[in-house]
Amino acid sequence: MLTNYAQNYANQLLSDLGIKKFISQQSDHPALAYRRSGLLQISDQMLPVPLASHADGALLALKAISENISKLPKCGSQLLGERARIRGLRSGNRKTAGGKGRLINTNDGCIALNLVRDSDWDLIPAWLEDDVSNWSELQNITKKLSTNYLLSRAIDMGVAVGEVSIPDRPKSWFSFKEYSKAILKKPLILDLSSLWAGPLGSSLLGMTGARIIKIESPDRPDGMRFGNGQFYNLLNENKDCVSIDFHNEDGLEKLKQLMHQADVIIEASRPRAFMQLGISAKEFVKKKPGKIWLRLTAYSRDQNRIGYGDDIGVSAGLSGIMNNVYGYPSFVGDAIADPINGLHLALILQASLHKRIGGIIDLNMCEVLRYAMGEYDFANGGVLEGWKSISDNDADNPLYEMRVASGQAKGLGADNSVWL
Amino acid sequence: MTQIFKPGVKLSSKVCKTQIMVLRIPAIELEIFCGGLPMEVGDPDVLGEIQGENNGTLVGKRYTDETETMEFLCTRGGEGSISVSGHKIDIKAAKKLPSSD
Repeated sequence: MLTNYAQNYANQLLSDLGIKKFISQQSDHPALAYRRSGLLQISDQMLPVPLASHADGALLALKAISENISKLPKCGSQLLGERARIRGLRSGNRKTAGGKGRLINTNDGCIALNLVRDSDWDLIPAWLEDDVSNWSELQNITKKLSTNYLLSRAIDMGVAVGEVSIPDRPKSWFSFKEYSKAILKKPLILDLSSLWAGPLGSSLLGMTGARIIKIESPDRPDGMRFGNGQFYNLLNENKDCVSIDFHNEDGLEKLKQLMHQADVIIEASRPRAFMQLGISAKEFVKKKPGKIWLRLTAYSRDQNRIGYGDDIGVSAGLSGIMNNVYGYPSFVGDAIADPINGLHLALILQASLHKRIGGIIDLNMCEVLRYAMGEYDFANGGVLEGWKSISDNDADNPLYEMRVASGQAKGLGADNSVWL
Repeated sequence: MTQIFKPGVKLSSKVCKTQIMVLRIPAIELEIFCGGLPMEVGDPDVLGEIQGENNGTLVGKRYTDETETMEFLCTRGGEGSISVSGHKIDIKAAKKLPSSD
């Protein structure tokens, strides 16, 4: 069953980016893309917004402006369930697929709390001003406290939280401060991001011919190196790996020299991180025409708020929509904000290279995801009924074929001798 | 004056804009200083004079003692340095990145 959802979103994205191209290619119905990507089995319930088709649309748009597309994935939505399918994970409604985050009640609502590292538990006594060491003790306290109180303290402390609500869709999904124009052939991209969204975005660009150097600090490498190897390879094969200790002068100087050679920077650090190192995005993009600095943050930069894929998914409204439709909130997908943002990140960078525009690009993961969900109509139970039966009738068909890494991602600092 | 601090309490400097949140602390009598003067709950009306040598505090950084028995989060940076009676307080290395999110 083919529909226009993906192509319409692709055309919207291209028009948002000021690119005059028109895509005419039908793709799987949103309910089918949601099921075949693996999202249905991860989440248990049909999502009544065309998010999976919009992931297809983002990849269609990327293909429309890329020269080499043979290595790109077949469709965008297959990226959404990829990690959970490799790891064989399901979400438990109120539990994230990865198992480290939960939906918990407050005295006036519900929030997601995502304690992805065991050491994050150390912060909980300070957050609640009470001694707490497990989820049931924690929930006994949070149910007596207000959502606002819990959110504002968590945000202050750098604890990942998200409120179950349905925010309005933003009018735009990026901010672009344009500085200069230039043609960049086979651009050199420094990717200083880690985990999923940034590395996925740069890997997609790598497939279209860009050269990628993954930069890590030796004492704080990409945590995904210690997660599932197969998935890590998918995101990081075909990248050179350089490790630099930014905290000594020699390392900082090496980083600056590499930045000097680079055409594009991708980073997902806190706004203060580069400031404290004395590195400025504005100075970088002004050094040579066409240079691009992309900053990926969980929320808007002025909020200085951290987030991970699952809790950002809640903040963007996915659990609020489930609550609205089924009467109880649940997580949707596995760190869903990550793959959605990876796709949009690759697209906006390719668009800038295509249009030969340099400058500073800000992407905020919550807004990108909320944008990609499309408009939500509160009275759309009818749409849901139709979508459910479309996916039910598809139950005997296989899911999308899984991607397989063609090689091994390189080790930490494997290419130091080449680049430093 | 020493006191027993509870995790979660926010303390302000009396010599600069520094504000910290106590994340972890042993339940024993302690005194927490910034720029040489004891820190208190609530911002002071007038700032006192900074004492001794100070490297200042950086917003967002965590501070801990040598054996990591206590931890403070800087929620507002300033010129004063944090110290605790009988303990050396320094910036804590950033937490490891998670292996999945």
